[in-house]
Amino acid sequence: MNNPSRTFLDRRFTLGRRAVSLAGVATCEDAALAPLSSFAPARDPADRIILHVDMDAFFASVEQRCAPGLDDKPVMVCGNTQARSVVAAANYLAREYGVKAGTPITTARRLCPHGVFLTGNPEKYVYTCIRLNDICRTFSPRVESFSIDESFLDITTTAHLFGGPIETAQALKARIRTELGLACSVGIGPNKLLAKTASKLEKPDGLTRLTRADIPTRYHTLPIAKLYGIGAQTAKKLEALGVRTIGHLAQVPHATLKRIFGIIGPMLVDAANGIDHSPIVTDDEQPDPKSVGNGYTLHADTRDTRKLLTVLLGLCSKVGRRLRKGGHAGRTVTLVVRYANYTTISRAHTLEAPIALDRDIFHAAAAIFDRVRRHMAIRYLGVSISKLVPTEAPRQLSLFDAQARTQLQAATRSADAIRDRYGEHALIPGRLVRCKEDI
Amino acid sequence: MATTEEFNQAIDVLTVFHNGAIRPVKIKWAGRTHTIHHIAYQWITRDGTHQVRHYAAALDSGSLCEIELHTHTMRWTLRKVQMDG
Ligand SMILES: [Mg+2]
Repeated sequence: MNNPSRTFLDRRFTLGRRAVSLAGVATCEDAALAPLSSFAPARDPADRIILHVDMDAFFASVEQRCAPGLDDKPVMVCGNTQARSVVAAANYLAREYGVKAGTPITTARRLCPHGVFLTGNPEKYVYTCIRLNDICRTFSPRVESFSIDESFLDITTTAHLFGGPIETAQALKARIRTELGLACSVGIGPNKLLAKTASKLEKPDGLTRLTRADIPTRYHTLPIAKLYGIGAQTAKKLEALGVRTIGHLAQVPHATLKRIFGIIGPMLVDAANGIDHSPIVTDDEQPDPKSVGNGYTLHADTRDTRKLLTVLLGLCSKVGRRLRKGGHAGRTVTLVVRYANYTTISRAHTLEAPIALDRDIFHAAAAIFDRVRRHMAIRYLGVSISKLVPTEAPRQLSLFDAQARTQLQAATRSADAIRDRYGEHALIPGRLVRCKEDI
Repeated sequence: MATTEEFNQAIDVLTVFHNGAIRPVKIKWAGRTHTIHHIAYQWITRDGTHQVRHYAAALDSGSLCEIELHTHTMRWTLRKVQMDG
């Protein structure tokens, strides 16, 4: 890997779930697939001791803790229990019926008619996530909160304090069990990639260590779809090319995969060889966001412009508030519209000067909305703002509205101060008061 | 299946403050006093600069209720009750 700071997992993390598509019709046939035993595990000088903690059926488990009578029932947590939502998390009993995160509620009710459907409470999960990371930080100062229910710990320099890597993981699991009452699976590996793979191997309540020596027997034997960061489409395409296991992929020369997958190709091969140099990124080290956004699914599909603009106003206020809290202003406003038939369009407009005030964002978003076809009822609206700059950056002001703008900025600062002190609902735009959507 | 009902009512709660921790013990609601058997879960949110402490409380009667203490107003609120929990 040329640049150790930009490894596969790194890209995976920053690019999000960007799909990797096959370019052209090249195949891997020219890559002779050597037997797996030929793989010699080389120690990577960059190897560390990384733990990956993954809470088991997180949202559902928290809800089961809150309502102990649910222990022996299939539990599904949803955004709301109305038909339009999807299951956000299913406990292991519900999974036996074929329900998983993302299953539409209507389908879930058919698959598991006796299951318990609960409306999720994100505040509970966020708080529990904070507690989880507090516990993790008593085992190492280098903790990365990877998602709401997953964290990485670099225990290279602290594991000896707890008797070794396995003992550290056991102690961590015990603390999570006693203090949060929740089960988790922990993976131990020489890097984030292998630690994350390890935590998946024995779920729920697992504790698995993957060392370099385990790569031929426990990593290369996994189906290609289990390679972390690979999408279902890429896995399918690789399978079609004869690459069925992670071990098969590890044998493919970089150049071949580069031809097929572009820049991601060699990274896939490195990942298949268990190579990953991505660092643990603690909260303090998180990079500035590239964009700030918010979206909302309406209670019922609508073509009512007034209502849609009200929802848009609510979204822009939220985006503006988050933007200012982070000390940013942005130049590109993007509007996402999803129609009743799920077709989704995205339209962006880049302004000359960065904006951060709710009114400016709303004006920009509403101007885009004006040009969007409304041939069909709308189901979802999303607003985001990108091309961010720090708020302190000098801004181009039009001479004519400078005074009005200064007043508006002062009013916004006051409104933000009131919300900081009295909560987000202390002040809301007047239009939103009568709107029956809880944006 | 158990049914959950939302109340959002101010209630009186007999509370023990011990060793830096808050433990609700009994709640008075609809003219009756209910003993809390145990706290099943608790979490904290913020309302502006103030903390709101939430408790999922299992009552002796077998019902479950969600109560919260606003630490600025020091008022307890009954959010919801799940009967036959
Ligand atoms: Mg999980």
